[in-house]
Amino acid sequence: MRYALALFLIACGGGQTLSLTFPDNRADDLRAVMTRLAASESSDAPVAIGISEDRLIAYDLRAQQRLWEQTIEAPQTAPYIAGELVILHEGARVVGRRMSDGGIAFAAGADNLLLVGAAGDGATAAFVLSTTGGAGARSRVHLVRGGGLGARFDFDSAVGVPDVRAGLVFVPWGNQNLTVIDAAQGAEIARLRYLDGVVGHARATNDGLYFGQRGVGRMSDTISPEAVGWFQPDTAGLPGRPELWRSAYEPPPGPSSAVHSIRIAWAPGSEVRPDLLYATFYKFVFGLSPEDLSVRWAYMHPADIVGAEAHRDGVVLADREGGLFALDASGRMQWSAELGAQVSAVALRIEGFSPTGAGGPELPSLPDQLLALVQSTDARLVPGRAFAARALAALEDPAVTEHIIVLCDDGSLPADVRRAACDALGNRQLGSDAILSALRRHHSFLEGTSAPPVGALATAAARANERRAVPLLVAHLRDPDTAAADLEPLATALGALGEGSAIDPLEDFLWLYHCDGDEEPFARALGAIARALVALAGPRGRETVQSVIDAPFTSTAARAQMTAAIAEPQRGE
Amino acid sequence: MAHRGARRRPPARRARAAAPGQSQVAQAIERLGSNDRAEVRGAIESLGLLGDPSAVTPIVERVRRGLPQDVLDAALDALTVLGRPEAGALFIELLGHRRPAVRLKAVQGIVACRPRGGDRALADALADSDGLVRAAAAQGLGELGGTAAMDALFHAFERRVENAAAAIGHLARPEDVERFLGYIGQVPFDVLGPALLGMLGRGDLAERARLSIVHRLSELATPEVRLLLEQYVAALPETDRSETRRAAEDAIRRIGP
Repeated sequence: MRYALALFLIACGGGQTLSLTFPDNRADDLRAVMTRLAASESSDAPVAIGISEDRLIAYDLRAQQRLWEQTIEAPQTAPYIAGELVILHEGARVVGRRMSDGGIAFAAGADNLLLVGAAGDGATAAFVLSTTGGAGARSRVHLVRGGGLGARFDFDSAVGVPDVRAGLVFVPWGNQNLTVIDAAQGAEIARLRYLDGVVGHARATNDGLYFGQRGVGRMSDTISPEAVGWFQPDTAGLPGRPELWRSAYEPPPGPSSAVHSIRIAWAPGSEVRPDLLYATFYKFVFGLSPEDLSVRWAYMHPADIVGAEAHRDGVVLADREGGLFALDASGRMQWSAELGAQVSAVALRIEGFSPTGAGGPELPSLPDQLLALVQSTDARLVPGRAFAARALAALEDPAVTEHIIVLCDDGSLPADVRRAACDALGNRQLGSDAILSALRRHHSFLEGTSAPPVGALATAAARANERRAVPLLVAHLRDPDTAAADLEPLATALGALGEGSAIDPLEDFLWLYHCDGDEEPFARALGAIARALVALAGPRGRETVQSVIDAPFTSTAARAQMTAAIAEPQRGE
Repeated sequence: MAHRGARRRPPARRARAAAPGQSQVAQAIERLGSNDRAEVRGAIESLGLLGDPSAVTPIVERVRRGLPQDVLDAALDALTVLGRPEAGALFIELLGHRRPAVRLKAVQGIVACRPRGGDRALADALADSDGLVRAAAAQGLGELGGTAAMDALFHAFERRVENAAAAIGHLARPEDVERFLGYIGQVPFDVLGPALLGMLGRGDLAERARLSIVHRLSELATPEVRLLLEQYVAALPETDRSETRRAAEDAIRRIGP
């Protein structure tokens, strides 16, 4: 009754609104919610719901058989699995279909709002319609009981993606709030307010209530980052920059959106932080360490991934061709099935599903897994290939160095992928043998060889203080096939390695080309050579550079670079 | 490059004699040190026209101090015209210049100057990344007569470097002829033909080697072979009574129209 009083009934459209004064983060309220969740058990069967332009297909994962197929019209979103219902925004309506046979249980006008999310547990379900956005946003939360529409709550703010369990409806709203509604009472019974991260999604399990968006925390009776075990990985470096949950306050993705292929699947670990994150990028799946997002394994599927849901021991995935499959936590294929139709998105409910099977073949080594991804030829996958190249470079295995040199060297690779490999090479602690061996190679038309990635190798040689590289670097300085962009790191490395034998070749180069520095990369290279000369030859080098600057036909750009170079203080000066 | 110490010195005054030509040379050499681009270029072109060998070293030194592209091109042309071996080291160094056009002029300069080590340098240039440089190097090897580079030329021929076949035709010794005949059937005849014709026309090539070519060609007995042999015979003086000629005429008759 206390809670019912907390709600205001308003006349406008018949929806209820939440009390402005409902207390946040009250320990007793939160404990009561956690107690109900801990005692809960879901009886809903594991299913996959696939969607195409005009079809909705339900598949029973345990029985490995199709449940039904229904024609749909103008789907606006991917389907939501909501207990005994499947809820979908079709045209101007929100349609709830029975999981048992696909028949329509209810249809409600969307009133120009967007279906942000829906969830359910048994006969209780809820869906959220919203304008999305920030200021001026308005939203509705509809409760569904026994297949029919129930109470409705109106919000003067954006509402996120809800969840339902144990007769409770969990509604994130306004970026920082999560309201718990007792579906039977139609009343708010608890409110969580979290100020240290965005709250856009709810996920209820019998382990507790998880909430968040870029990060995730678990409801506790006190609310603070420590108490909720807040976990927020920096996913900006992942291909496509997916977040733990998609942004709930932006318009939901359509049924064919790439969002279904570029996402992170995860299941909470015992201490909130997942044991593994599964990042999908079209055909790629990366198993990522939650600590630093380093790649533990990488898998390439024959078709685009369009659905993924993680459990404690692995991940269940769906592909565009209608394939369903499960990978275990080591990335090994564990189970597979066929939906039987092409789909653009698949929603999965996997609680209570234990994929088992003979298992796929042994996985190759991690470097080989990553190399296979880098060398795939699908142009859409370039960000994923570049990520795989960086991941490969992060491996300390010396055998990987050869792979990276080859990739950095491969002119047929997309520029982003090749740059990732070359950058990684420059940052890598390379073995001397690998550096020297690669630097010995030059372009030769007759031998069919190309110039190695000289800049990256030079940087690596300098980092390793490998002075035996100096004559090899000098040979590349004199080689017309050394790319202009490589000359700058090459000269910098020669300066850093401190071998006097490089002075004369550097002087020669400066004199011979000081009139040619109109192009920016080449002018910068001449500046770097001037800097190296000063570093190696001291006052004599400075005098040489000054003579070149004063020479009558020195290019303007080169003069500027060289002047800047000798203006810099040198070590020991 | 060498002669580093000479860089900061002004070009030497070499002309002391009163002869009018020498005076012009001395003045042009003096103008090499000008800060005016047109004047430097004009001086270089004058030195090329005057043809005085004493101009070579000052031009070489000026090139080593760096020149704008058009002036550098003029300097290399002048050194090529002068054709003195003293410029050879510079040309060999410039085979590593970043601009392919400079490398091409360097090849031509080496052929003109015939410096010691020029054939080795041209053999290296067969691997250049620029096709024109490679073709010029192959042609240059043929002109220099550098049989030491024969392996490199065969390698270049296998990699389809333009002019490599012609150079082989120009330089081949009897053992090289046998090696070249091994490509018949593997390489299109229009690639091999000009080189074979060149070999047949060489009076300095042993007759047994030339006969070997005719015998191998007669086994092919194609219209292209007949045409080539006819060209060979047509180019011979009427007085030629060599065994190779008789074998070629026999082959032409056997192949028929």
